[in-house]
Amino acid sequence: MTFKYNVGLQNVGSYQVSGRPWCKHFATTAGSVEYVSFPNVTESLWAHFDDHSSGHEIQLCFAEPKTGMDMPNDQEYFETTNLTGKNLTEWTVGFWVKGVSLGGRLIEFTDKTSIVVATPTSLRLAVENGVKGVGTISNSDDWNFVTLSVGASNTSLYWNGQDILNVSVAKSAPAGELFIGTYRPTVNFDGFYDDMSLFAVALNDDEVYEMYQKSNRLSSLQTHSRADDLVSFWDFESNLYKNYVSNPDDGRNVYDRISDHDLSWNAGGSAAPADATYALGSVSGRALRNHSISLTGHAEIHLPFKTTGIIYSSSNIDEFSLFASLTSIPTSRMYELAGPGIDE
Amino acid sequence: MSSNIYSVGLNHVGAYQVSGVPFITGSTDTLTNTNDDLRFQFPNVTKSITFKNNHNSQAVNVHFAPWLAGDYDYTYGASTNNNYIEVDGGHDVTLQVKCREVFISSTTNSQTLDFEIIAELTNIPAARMFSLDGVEGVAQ
Repeated sequence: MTFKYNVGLQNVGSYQVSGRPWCKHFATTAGSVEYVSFPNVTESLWAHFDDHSSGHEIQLCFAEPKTGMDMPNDQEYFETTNLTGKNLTEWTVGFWVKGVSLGGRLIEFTDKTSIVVATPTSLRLAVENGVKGVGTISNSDDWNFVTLSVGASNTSLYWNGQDILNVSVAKSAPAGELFIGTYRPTVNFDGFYDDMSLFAVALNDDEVYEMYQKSNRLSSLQTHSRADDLVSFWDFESNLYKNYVSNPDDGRNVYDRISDHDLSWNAGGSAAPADATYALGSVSGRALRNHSISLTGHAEIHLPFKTTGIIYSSSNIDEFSLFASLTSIPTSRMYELAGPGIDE
Repeated sequence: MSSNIYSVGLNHVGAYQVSGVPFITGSTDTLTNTNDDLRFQFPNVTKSITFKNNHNSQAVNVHFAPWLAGDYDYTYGASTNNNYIEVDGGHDVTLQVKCREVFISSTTNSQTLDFEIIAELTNIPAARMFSLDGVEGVAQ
């Protein structure tokens, strides 16, 4: 017999009774980062590190993995579905992008009103199918935030909130939908997208920088000084499957999400707003946030937290035991762990 | 006086809030190989269990299902999906967990164990506890 009803997250009794056991022993590998999910909300956790050699370390954190969108092949693109008919006389679009080699078309409107084309060290801007200039970029193999601000007579391109190209051009409001990736043959962008937002206004330099700082979460964007002009936000999590289009000829959807173990992470924090690839095993990852627990030697720790998962990372070949006392609360009842102390 | 025909259920909060009844056991057995395990059954559902490994160097494995599938009428085993934790020699761990039995296995062949199990028992009969066979994180 199955029960129609289940207990909620704040059901005190669920935490007062002892939980049922969940345990697993892991053999870690160098540089491994793994998200461990539990079948129910936890009442508490216990972790034990088994160091195979002096100086090894494992790190634990509760930031939940985020997904982005992976576009490794020709003619893969994401098409918006809500812009046709909107008279965007001014607009600003921003998105995170990570490409091993930026060689393809990043973004364009259906009628080629505006296009951003990338080379490994520069972004080329075209407005209404005419090239208008080139802006220099750096570190294109890491996560970067690209912003295009289009006004009635001026168009600006930004890289991580900094203006890299400014052109004067008269243009009309774009028609149709916005594409990231490309639907044209032989034009390939091999990389990832994440967290795209669209404002129905040409943001100025300060406002673009603010967008860059608040770009990785809708709740943050809603505090933007021009939040009233925020038209859309796409986080590229699982609820956006239907927008993934591979081949326009057969209309199939593809679910090109970044795989569970190759994730983009919300870095958070005003000093580190980027959706950086969060390599917990690296020194830079720890220094960036310090929101991880470090275990060395044969250390163990009790963690009296409710969660639906935990991330561990090890930079060496070691072993690691994890025990959880599970409540009877389904994981669907748990909210996303995010914010200060978690990923900000 | 007749005995009470009713007993408390598994989710009776008060049964876990009051201090439990002590249950202490242990072993100094030698396990021939790492597929062997020792089974410890509790008369009542546990509130917490402390595993104290008194050996000066060798770790033991603690699990909530037999090491191998098919043992003790379990369909699944703890080793199938690495559903165990290690307790180092000279260390102890206390787990706030409800169960009716635990299993201890060695980490090396011909290992002489030296450990104690200190359980805090509720007044919930062990028969009230659901089976952990095939449960994710225990034996699957």
